[in-house]
Amino acid sequence: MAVVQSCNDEWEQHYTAKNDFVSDKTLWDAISTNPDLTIFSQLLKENGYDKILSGSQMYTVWAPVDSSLQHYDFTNKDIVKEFIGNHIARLSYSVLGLIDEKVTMLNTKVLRLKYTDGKFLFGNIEIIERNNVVNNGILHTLKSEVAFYPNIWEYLPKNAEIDSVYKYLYSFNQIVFDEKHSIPGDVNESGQLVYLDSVFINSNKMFRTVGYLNNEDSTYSILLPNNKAWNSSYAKIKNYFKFFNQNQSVADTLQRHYTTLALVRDLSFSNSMQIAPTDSMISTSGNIFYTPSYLFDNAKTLSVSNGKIFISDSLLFNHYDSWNKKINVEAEKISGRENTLSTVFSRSSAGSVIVPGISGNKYIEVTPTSTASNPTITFEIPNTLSANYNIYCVFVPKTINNTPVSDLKPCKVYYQLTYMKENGLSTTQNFTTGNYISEKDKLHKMLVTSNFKFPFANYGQDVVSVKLKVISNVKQSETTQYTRDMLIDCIILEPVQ
Amino acid sequence: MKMDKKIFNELRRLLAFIAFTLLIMQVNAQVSDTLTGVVKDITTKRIIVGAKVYTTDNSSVAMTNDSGAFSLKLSSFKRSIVVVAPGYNMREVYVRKGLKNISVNIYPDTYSNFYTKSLVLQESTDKTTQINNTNSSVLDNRNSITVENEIQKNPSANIRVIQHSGVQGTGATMFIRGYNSLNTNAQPLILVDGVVYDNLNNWNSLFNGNLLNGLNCIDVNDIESINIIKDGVSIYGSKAGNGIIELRTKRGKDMVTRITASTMVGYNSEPQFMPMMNADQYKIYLSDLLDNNTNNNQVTNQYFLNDDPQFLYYKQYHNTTNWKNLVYRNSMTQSYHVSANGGDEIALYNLSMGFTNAQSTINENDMTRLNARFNSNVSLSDKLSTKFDISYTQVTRKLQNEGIAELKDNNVIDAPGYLSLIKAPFLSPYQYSNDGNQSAKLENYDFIGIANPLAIQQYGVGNEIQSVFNLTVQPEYKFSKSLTLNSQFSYNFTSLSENSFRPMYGVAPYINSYTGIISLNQVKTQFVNQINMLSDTRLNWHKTYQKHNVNILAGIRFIQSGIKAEYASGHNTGSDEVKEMSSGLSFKSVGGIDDSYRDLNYYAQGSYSFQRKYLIDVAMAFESNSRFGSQAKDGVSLFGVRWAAFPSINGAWVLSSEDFLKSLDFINYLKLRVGYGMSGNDGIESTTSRTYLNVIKYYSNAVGLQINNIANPEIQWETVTKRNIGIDADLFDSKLSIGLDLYNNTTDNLIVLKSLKQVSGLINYYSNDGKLENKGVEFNFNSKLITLPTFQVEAGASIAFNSNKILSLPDGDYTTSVFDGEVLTAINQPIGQFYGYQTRGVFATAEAASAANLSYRTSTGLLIPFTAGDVIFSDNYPDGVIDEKDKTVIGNSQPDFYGNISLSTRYKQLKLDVLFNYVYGNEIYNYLRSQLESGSSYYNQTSAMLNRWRSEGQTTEMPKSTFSDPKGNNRFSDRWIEDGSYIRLKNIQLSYELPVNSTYIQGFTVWAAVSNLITFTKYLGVDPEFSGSNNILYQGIDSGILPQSRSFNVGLKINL
Repeated sequence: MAVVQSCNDEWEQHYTAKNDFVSDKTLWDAISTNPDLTIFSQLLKENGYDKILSGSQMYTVWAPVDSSLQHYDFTNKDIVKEFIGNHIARLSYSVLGLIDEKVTMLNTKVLRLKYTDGKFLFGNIEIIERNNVVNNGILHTLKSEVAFYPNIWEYLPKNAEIDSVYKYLYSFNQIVFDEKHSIPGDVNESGQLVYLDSVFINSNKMFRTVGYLNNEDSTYSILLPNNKAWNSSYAKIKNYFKFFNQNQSVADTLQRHYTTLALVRDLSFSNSMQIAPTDSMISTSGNIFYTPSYLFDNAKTLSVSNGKIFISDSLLFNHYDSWNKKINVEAEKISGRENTLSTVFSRSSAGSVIVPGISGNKYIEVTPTSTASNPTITFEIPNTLSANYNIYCVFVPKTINNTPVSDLKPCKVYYQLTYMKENGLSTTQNFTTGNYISEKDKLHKMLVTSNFKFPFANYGQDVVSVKLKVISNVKQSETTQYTRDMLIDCIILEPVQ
Repeated sequence: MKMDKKIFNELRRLLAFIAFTLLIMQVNAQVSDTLTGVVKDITTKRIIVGAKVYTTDNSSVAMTNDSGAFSLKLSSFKRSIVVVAPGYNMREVYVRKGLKNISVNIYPDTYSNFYTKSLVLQESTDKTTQINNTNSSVLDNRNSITVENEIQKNPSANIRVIQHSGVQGTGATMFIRGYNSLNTNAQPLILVDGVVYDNLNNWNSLFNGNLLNGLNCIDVNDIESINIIKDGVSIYGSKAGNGIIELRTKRGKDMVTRITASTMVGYNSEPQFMPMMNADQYKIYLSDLLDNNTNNNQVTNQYFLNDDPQFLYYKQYHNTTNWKNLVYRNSMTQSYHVSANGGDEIALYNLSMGFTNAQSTINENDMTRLNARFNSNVSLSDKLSTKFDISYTQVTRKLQNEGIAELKDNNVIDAPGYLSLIKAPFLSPYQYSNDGNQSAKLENYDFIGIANPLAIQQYGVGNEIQSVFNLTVQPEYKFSKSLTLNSQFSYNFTSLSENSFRPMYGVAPYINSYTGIISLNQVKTQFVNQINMLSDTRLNWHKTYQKHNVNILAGIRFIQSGIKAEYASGHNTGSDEVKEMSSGLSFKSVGGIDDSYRDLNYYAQGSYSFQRKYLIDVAMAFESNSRFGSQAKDGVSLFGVRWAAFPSINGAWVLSSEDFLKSLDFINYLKLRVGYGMSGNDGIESTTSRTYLNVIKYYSNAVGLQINNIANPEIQWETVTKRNIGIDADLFDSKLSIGLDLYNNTTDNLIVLKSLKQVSGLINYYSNDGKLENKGVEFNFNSKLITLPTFQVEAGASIAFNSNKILSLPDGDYTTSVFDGEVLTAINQPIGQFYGYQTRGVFATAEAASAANLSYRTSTGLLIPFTAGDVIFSDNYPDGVIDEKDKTVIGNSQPDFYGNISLSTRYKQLKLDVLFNYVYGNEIYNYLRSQLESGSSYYNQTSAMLNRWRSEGQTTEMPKSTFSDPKGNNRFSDRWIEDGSYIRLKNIQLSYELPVNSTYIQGFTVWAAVSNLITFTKYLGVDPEFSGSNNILYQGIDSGILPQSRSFNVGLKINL
């Protein structure tokens, strides 16, 4: 009968692994028995990779042949690690066709596998033999080794020219507990969570300021000041951060801290953030630089695995673009605000077309508590530097309340500025003589004083030493002419360029 | 009316035939002569004392004397004699004119009997149709626990029986002479003691892969005979279009009290599955998949990629678990049966009780049956007698989902058997404690969301209780010797309850993308009650006038059948401790039906035989059924309803009784049969002919009514017209018997779904349209090869060819989507053809791929070329694009031929029976393999996937693995279509009758049997015999339900 066929034949044929193409050897078998790969295989064995490549995980190995490694120095353990990791990748990568792929290596570097001009190249090195498929992966052999490209973070310690910035950034290195990748267990007797597997990772809190420079997945353009540039910039910036403290060393520490921070905060630009880099660039700290080529023009350029480094002789940042920015104190902010003889209402101008341009769409309305009194209001001005400012107070006209034109009256005020003098004592200076009458029907940015120099910086301090008091200056007799109601939007301190 | 014309034609033909036969009748004076003879046992050649010899009309009866001789008066036109003796097969012999003395050899009843097996039910060969019979002498001492197994073992029946699966008691799909229907029931009518056994045929189980089977409520030990009736079934009207399986249960035989006890114990071996990848191979396969769709972070975060032994989860991810061994098992079967048979002058009875417990070869899956039956014949007077039968069976089953569910998107994978194949072998079924020791607590679902099959088996619930109660009273009044009135009343109550619970522990929550629900666990429950009442009253008149023998039967059958069912399901019980349905569950869904129908059938049958040489049967049934539409197009209106008419005419000519065959002495019996008849198929839902509204829930808040069906008042039965010609022959002193049948059956008025216009708000409606045809040849033979006193050998075989074709369809050709594949229904082509892509291997190199220049089109219209490692699909429509146009017929689930081969030998008291069954030329869509060799999912794969394309230059049949298969390498193609031919040693049985000589023990038999010992097949699945559904479009699709396995049984029977 025709149907009779031993069931075993078909079954065996189908379900049995055929070893004619995919050998049942492991990667380690294939590497260690290849006479052209003795140096590479010796290196793998010394570093324990013989076991890894004999296991049941899939890898692709691009092995450089002996002839190219004769004079290679493998005494430095760190370099060996970089070297091996640069030639092995997880998963399987066949080399065929018009391939153009990015391969993530064990050392997290991303290398290019492509076909050009009749040749298969891996990291620009020619593949001599390709697609030796074994049980747990694929082995290719390379004409020579693939160069190791450091990333920005790895590059920093390698150049003595920039060791000021390197030392500064690396000083924040720490090992931190990685909660996300740790495996939580039970709670112990004292109510604390005990982790079954605690994962610690290298971290650096400066990454949040300058970007994750150790990450191969993102690319950056970074300005690195050489030591000369570092020093000159430091000398320039430190004047803005003069602090007063009874203990001079505390004052110096504060000055050093804020100066270096100001120095590095705008060095790094994430490439993915730049929409039109010739027009403007945004630094990792969020400051925008228009037509920024002047920053990079005279720098020495070099490529690294996650971007470009510009080593510069001098940092050309303008202080008002970077560390000395305009200070804007919103009147509606309650903390640090004090008023006398008055009631303060916080008002919203959202949707108002009568008076456009009110910052934050909010302002306050200061009204006297009695017909006999002139109200006052005091604002704390934080984060001032030891620099020159033009100080403004912005008044909102009553038209915003739909007040009839006939009832419109301007305010008449004077100011008191409180700050720290050279001797470290607080002083108050009155500004009464100017023309401090607001516009009655439009937003009025009233200049309080110009080019005012604070002797000391008040940057990042808990106790705010700079205050501006706005005092209604309307006599009883003038009430038909002026109003004692003050509608204030904000206080602005503009650095003098 | 078309139908009226048909009937008229039939009647005209019948009258012509009768006139013709009357014309040729010879009016000879009756001359009687005396026949003397001797009766002998063919094996021992000894004479037989006390054998009964009689003429077929019982006009002359004789018993053999001490020297085995008899003397009998024969008339000139009644020359057939029948010989019967206890322990021997009945034999009929035609005595030619002039013969005065004969010697009749009869066969011990251990041989199969041509005369009872294929010709008669009662002791008469006056049949114009063929009936395949299996009787209790064969059925006793068998290892089957359900009847369909025994039907499958009937070597000459030519019925195609396909076991549903290896789940105990799950039944079989049966086809008599091909597929006689396209969309409705294609299963034969089952009659149990004359009662229509409609046991939840149209109801579904809650458990995927499980089919409800009424026959598992019948104990094989209670069966007296099984008859397969293929044609001449018109009197069963619209129920018999697919043929009839008639079961008769044992009744009281005589006044001697006989007690029979039998027991059987069996062992079923764990099925041998295709080899899956081991832990290391699977890990590498997973890495291969990650290649294309993961970034480096995802890879390094995968615990299974971490080979550091210090890693906390190292042990959890470094096991070598054989899930199949944990889920499947070697299982046991046990069965006990006691019966008492006896009575007195007034009443004869048979009382039996049985207990069966059969475990499936998968854990937490078994069947327990408790059955009792009391059959009695009470003789109230000379003229009045009655049968009174009562039976009750309860079947309790533990069940679980089997195989792959067809609607994957709306279902979580929770079939433990399938899970055991796809589950990662490097995972452990049990949890590891924090200190690295394996605990006894089961592991939850795994990192890729695959459930723990052991948790489903342990915490899940799958119960089914099915019970059947039957009461039958059948009084009979004999007005005279020739006139009898018989009325049967039967009440049958069937109930089914099922409940299932899928636990939340061990099974990943799944989001039903269709309804948006998140299911943590799920409860399902259903209760079904079915009440069938039947009343069948018939008047039978029988008369013999000299050469003429007339039998007229007229009857009324009334069936009332009602099914009430409730179904409820809900999700998220909150805890795996709460496994019951309650009002607090989320996403509840409830449903039910209350459906009944009535069927009234007037039928009449007239049989006439002349000289027992020329036989004719004419039958007609008029039937009205509440399922038919009020304007059924082929019906006749009467009394406000539509009536269907089913006529039939069958004739036979006993050639062996003709003198012109006198010289051919080797012919003992030869009959030529010709038949033409109609029957029907009433597999219409009773709501189809009515317009009705359905309750719907709108946004889970409002309840509303929605039109659910537009009536088709013309809906009616499918008409099956059967044409048959056949020969039965008994040759060479009964040593060789042959049966040959040719048939051509057509089914008209196919019940089909037609599309409605959108404006109706409904998609489609049922209608009668289209036609199909089944043509075939059935052949069987039986040969008593060796007939020695102590050594006897008998061999038989059967073969059946069926070819099926659709002749017309209302809306032309179409395909139906089944299990990610397609089945074609097309005019002039057979039903059940697989329609998909052809393949020619795998591109070994990039050059080969670019030379072939084939692409596929994405949903956005983009052409993407096939590359190295992709499957080479045949571009049958040569446009360089592989799409719908390239599909073609790639296989057919119907076989070219099928049959059995049997061999039976006996040496003294030792008997060996061997039965093979075979199927040739059918194709199987191996859906299970398409999932296990797709190379596109995280499921573990078969070891064939070790040969997947890995790199340039590799010549292989298995494409590369890519997650989610963007190129469609895994699409429905001939990669998954396999030759389903097989020949299987279905049963081999050795039995020994102990020579007991005791007043208390009458007989003692021990036996041992092996089922499914060996199967020869090219099929790459576990078992080529399976049927996941009774729907014909789902035949030959292997969805991974539990395969049958080898079973070993021993049993004994004691007669007291």
